[in-house]
Amino acid sequence: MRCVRRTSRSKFVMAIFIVKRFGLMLLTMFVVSMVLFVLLEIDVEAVAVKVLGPYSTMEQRLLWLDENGYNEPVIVRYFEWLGRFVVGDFGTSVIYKIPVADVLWPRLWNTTILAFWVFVFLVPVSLVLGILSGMREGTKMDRSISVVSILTTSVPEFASTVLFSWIFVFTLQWLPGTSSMFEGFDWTQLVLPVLVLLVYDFGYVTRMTRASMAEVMTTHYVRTAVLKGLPYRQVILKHALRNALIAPFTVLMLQINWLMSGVIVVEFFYAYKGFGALLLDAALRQDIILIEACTMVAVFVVVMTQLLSDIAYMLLNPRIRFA
Amino acid sequence: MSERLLKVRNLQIEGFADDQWKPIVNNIDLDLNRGEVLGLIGESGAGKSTIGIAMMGYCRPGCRMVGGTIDFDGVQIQELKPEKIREIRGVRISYVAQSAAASFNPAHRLLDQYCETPVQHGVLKFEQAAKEARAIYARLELPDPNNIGKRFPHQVSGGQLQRAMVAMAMACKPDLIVFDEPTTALDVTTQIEVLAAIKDIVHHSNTAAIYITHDLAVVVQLADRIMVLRYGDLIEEGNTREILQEPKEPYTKELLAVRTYRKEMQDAAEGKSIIEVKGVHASYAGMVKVLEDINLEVRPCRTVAVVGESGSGKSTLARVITGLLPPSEGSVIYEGTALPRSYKDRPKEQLRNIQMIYQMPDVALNPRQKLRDVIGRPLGFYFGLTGKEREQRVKELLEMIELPSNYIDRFTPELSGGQKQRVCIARALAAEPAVIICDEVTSALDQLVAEEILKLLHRLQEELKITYLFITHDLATVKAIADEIVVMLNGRIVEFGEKNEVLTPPHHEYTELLLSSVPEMEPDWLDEVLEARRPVTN
Repeated sequence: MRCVRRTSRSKFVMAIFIVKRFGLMLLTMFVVSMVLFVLLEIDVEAVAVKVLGPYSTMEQRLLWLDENGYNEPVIVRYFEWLGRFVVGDFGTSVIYKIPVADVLWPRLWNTTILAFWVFVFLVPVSLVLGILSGMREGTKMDRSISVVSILTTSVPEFASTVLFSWIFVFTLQWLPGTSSMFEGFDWTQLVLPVLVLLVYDFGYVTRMTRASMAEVMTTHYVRTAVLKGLPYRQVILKHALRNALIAPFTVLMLQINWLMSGVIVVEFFYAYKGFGALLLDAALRQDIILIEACTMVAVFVVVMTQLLSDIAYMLLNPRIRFA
Repeated sequence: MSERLLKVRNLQIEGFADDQWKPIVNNIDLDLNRGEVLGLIGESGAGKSTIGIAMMGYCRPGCRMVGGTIDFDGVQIQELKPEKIREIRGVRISYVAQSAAASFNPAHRLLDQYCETPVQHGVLKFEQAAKEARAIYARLELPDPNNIGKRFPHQVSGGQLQRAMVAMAMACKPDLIVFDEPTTALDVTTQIEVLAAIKDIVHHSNTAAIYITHDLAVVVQLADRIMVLRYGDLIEEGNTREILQEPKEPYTKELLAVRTYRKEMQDAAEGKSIIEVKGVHASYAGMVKVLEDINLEVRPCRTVAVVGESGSGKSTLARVITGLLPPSEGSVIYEGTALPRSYKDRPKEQLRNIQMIYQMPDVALNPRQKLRDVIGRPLGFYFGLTGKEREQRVKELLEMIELPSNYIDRFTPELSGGQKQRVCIARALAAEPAVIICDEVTSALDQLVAEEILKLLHRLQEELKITYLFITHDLATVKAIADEIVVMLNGRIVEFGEKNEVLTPPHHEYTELLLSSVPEMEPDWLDEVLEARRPVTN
């Protein structure tokens, strides 16, 4: 009876927690939208210049502003703008001359594919290496893994793209050098971008996992497990791992944010039609409508992963679950 | 009956420190019969824990066994391959660690951690092990023994967890249990429960035990024989009662004489109070009430000891007085004027007058600072002293705390624990305060060192006319230094008065429990106390 009450209570606590987090997530997005609006939409004349170009006449600008409702009070404009965002109407892109949604969603999908494959390899590779390295600190294996992961992480993406292209595209001629996917989806075009991102990123997560694992290995409960005469395998798998995974988990969730909106160099280099490249394009060509949409989508991705990681964190750590 | 179980000869263990291997255990011989309890006693650095876990063929990282033999029931432990040692660990020799809270895996339930050992070693099936676990939980008087195993470690109290750890060590009915300071982290009232549990289970199952502790009064309750260790050397060994009655070595005598220090009583001072706490209520985050209706008066040049168990709110009281935690109701009055609730609103002069010393000198000192800066900073902050003047004053303060003045350029990690606490005292003195709040200042120190600190504090009080508010859970400290005693329980004051009044019967019920739970250096003390309490508990 006691036990039942305990679990139902903990479920209640969990529900409250998730609702709170969800509220916080909405609040974050609201604040970001305000900042965005203030930065990009307050100076209406600048908006007109950006949309119509620097060679437009003052008359054209005033006419455009009037047509698009820019003469309304700021508050009214903000909420109308926000309202359109909420229902998914992002407006028309200045540079592409088509609705932003038509260009943004396919791009985001492409980036999701890229991020997915990076993640599929990143998680097992970095966790396994990090654990192997952290469970016996100072051994040859630990040092080799550490050297490799520091080395790969310290080579920036723009350098490794060139290097890998030279090896696989020009020398071995195994893979295509661009990933524009003009003729439909082609997995060979995906290999290089995934490889570059994986090589750049796995070292970082490996290092984090290693640090966490090494710390757990020095705890008293791991010593207790050893002194209980448990096989080393079980000490690692049952006692060390679960507690050691909490920190790398947080780091992995942060990698999603980066993969979804921060892989500009790789997308640009391989002409991959992704979200990061779109964001760069929008910024360089001052397409404020597109910038606004991209920013809000990127923020949405961040707060969503944060929400997910908070929930998973609670499941991993009973102390938080029942607190 | 007196069959030899363990025979250790010439045990030598080295530890790696400052880029070289240094001996930490020197040529120790040790014998243990079946069913016998051996107490290993010594201060920190004596090598007692190292010896204890060496019996299980284990050395801490950074340590290595360099010589000697460990013969356990005919098996040479030091020669065993790792997989063979595994068969002994947990099954024939088990281990109870000092901090059960840190030694249970936070991610697994108690019962799973209990059953793991017998199941893994193929001694019992899970259901059988679980059944035995419930029986042992019941024997150790854990609440709700049938269901407590379903809880996670953080869901039970410290004393319960420590008993669960004892239960876990019993899971495979070992021949030998190594108890490594199992009660040190506990309150006295909890300690007595755990001691009783250990004594019961050891006698009941005729298990041999090595009991490691720094507290002689604890070990005499359990041990048949005692080995006194210091810096890795054996000082003295003998039957418990013999050692108590006729210690041969001076060091043993010192250990025995510990806690006998008493400062001479002062007459109950009448007159104005220096600090008055009036109707204080306080809570954390507006949720958990930790202090309820606290009223307290402290008169100048007196030592008021605030006693209570962990969670009684005594440290919170210190935080309220210093303004670190603004009270939700009530006020703190200093020399007739009410202090602003938060330290942020208090003028410098008020801040200067109330200083604080903390439990952990290691954490309270910045390891990257020299004593010159540690002690000099309040001099600069409160009095604007600089240069030569300031250095001169720092040296005076060092002299006051009985440290050589050439220590001024040492970094804090170069000092021992007791020296660090002295520096903390000097830092507080630098502000020339009227009141010093001492929060468990001796709890983290070895007993002999702690006693020196108490003497120092007392001498400073005589010389400088300081008032102390002395927060502690240790009644021996209270007996040594207090003029008045405040007993706290669950955020309330249950008794308040002159030391002699509080310490002489009739006591408040809770004070009685506290007092009677402090172990005495008398082998029959535990049995007597348990006997005396039996009718009450049943």
